[in-house]
Amino acid sequence: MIISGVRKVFKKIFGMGIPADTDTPAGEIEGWDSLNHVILIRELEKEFGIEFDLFDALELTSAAAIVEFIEKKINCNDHPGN
Amino acid sequence: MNDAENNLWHFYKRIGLQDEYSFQRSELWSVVSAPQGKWPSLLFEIDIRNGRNLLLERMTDGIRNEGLPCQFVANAFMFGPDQRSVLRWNHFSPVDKWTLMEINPGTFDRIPDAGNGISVRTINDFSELKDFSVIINSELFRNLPVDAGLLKTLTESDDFSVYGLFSNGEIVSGMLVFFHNNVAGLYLVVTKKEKQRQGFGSRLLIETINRMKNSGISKIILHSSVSAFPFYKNTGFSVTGEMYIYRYFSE
Repeated sequence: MIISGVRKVFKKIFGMGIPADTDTPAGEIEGWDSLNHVILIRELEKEFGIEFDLFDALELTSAAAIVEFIEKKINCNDHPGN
Repeated sequence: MNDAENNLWHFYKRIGLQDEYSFQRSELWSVVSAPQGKWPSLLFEIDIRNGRNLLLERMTDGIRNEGLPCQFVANAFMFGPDQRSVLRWNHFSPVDKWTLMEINPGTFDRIPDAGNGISVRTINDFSELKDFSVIINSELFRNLPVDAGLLKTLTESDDFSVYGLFSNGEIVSGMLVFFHNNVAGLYLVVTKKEKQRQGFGSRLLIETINRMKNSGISKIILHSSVSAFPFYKNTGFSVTGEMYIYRYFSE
């Protein structure tokens, strides 16, 4: 499941899982600054075997936005003809 | 080069020319450096005419061997969608996006009410500038703190002012303004976390902008973060461009 993979990466980078409110903005999560954001995205790339556009990734500033983005990306890769 | 970019370049140059800070211009970039661990330290005024690969290779060499700051700021067009892969190859990642925005000083005809006990004024006193720097370093720059001594030195010049909003005598919100060629650049705009979304930031912004009417200022510019963008858009600022901050990652 995507959510468990994201939770695992959050735990690794921020030492905590995804907040209960997945829309909590990055600025309110301890340690989620611009440097850790890049590290987070790189770890997510490894975890899910996908490549993020690093510019688009700057807009992914909540766990919910990340999960939604990965869902779209994986579904798109699964159905290249659609 | 637009007004927001021009104001930013001169802003960094002015800071770099202060005691203990440094400014250098080379063939491919300018550099502002602060004392160890302080804000700001980055490359700006980037020149890509000799190619992006050469630029990034020279930067990497300077970062690894000459102690060059590992971040640079550049207009979005310098690394458009077709040139972005060169960043990855050279181990640079975008870490922040700034939207360039502007507003006319005559935009507002009244100041919003933010309640009793509120005042907006310029700050020159060191202890108040220190209080302002504490808010900046808590809300904006946790990794590279702004030095209160730098703010004090800057406010002693005619082209810099710090405006603060005080609630019952306590600073709640503040900003640094840099005046250059009749353009006022708003920097380090910040409100205390527990006082955000209560109208203090709007009040400070609009009252400061109103004070620039009839002062010879033709335009007010700023560089908005992704999270602050809706606030400035709702206040009436219009978009004039985008810049990105890029950082070198050694792995």
